[in-house]
Amino acid sequence: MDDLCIGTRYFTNMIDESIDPIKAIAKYHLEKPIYSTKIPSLERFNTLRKLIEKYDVDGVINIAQKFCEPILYDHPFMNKKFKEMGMPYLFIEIDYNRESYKQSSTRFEAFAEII
Amino acid sequence: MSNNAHVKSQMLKSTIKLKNEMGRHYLAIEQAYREGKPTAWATSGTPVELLYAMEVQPMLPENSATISAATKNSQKFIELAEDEGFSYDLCSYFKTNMGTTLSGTTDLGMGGIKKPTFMLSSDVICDTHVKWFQVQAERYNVPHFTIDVPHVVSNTSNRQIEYYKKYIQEQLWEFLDFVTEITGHKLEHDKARVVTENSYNLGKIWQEIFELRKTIPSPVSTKDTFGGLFPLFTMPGLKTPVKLYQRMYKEAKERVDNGIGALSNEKYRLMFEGIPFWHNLKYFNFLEQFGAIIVYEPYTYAFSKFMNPNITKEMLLDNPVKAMSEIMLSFWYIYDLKTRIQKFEETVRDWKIDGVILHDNLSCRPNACGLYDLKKHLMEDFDIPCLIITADMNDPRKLNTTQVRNRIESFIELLDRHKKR
Ligand code: SF4
Repeated sequence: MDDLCIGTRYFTNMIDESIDPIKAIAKYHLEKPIYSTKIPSLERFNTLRKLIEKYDVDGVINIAQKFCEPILYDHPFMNKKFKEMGMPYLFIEIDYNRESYKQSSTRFEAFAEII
Repeated sequence: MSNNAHVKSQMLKSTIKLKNEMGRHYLAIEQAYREGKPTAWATSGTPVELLYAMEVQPMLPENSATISAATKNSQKFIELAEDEGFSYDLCSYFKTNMGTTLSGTTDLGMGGIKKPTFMLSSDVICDTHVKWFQVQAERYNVPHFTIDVPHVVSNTSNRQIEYYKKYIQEQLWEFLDFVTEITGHKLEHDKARVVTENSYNLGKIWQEIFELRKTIPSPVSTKDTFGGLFPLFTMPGLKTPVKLYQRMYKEAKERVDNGIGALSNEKYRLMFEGIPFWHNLKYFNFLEQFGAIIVYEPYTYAFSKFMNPNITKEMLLDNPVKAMSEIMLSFWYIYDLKTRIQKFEETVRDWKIDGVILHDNLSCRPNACGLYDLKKHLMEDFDIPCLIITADMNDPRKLNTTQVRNRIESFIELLDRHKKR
């Protein structure tokens, strides 16, 4: 299960085809689970928690691109919340390059073992 | 190239009084806590005037962060925030502020902070402001109000702009209700008039001081403007900083009338774009030995606020909420690249600038974004020499003093050749 803007979040809710299209699109955007760029972080955490329960998730991976400030701001909060839940949580800050992909895969493997 | 190590630029005598203003601001904060008066954290770019008008004592964490840096405390706070899990790449103002919270430092003299009654942020300058205050509002468990300001880009139509103005205005009315609900204070029209008039005068005198800097030699250097900025952030609406700026203006005008420059051997006139290195404010002093002086900083000018000619004093006094919403929409840092290039070109011409130094600030995306395009256009379209330096305003670890200095020295050599052409 993912919480990516152009992943599952994109079709979590649907555009209501029975009403005025402009209104329907606006409603769709306003009712989508919030992005990391929006606040409060708690709302985002609650969405993730629901997903975890629904899909019986064993671990959470949070990947932040360097300079993706919204994700970076949320990380300590998420870390704390997942700890409270007893949910394994892996946080990785990456750059767009091969080196960082290699390093990440090593960390994924280690994380899989923890789970 | 002249190389006189003994030349020093002269600070205005009145700027020294700035310390008193800062002291006054801190005393007001201490007093507010003693008397149980409501207080608020505010991010820069928000209408701090409305807080003053509603008898709420403002505190600006960005400003406190600069104090931490100037007193050499920022690095320690930043590292504390990093230990807490906040990334090396996040804004160092935020991390300084977070570190102060984590360490429990409330000493205002070293940039300490206190728990406010509520927080006011806006994304007018950066999205960091909103996330930052949200993180802190959750930690301190205080209410947080944020004002969303749409950005004006090259295709924004007039119709959209009119809609944006209304959108911001509605939020400001909401904000007033929010303050009333928490504090019981209402916006009194007479008080609002006094506050906004002071703020207007403060911004306008600051702009007049900048006008004087068009003179060759420039009567004022960054020694006056970097620090002199403080009241524009923290005290817009009070009377005393207006008096301070009036004194600064008078002194600078006397220098102009007598042909005296801040730097006696002025040879190269520079523009510095970006936030200064608060952790090393003396850094640029080495420019003086080359006869180079910074005569304009878009950053320090931007906070004079009242640059949009459509916002008149009458409008501000009669309808502060409307005027404030328009000011938020015409803030320098929400300009698109095209307008930014145009503003830079005009400024370079009017202030007779020989070269532009652009601070690629590792902390600050709004500041750093577009710098390379800006540089390219200024150099290729207008033949304006530009130099980009990479550093950070509050994190001393990110300034390589020798490397940056070498690059600036080579840049001055280039300016010399450029001038002789
Ligand atoms: S330095 Fe830049 S990122 Fe940090 S608060 Fe200021 S505008 Fe925002």
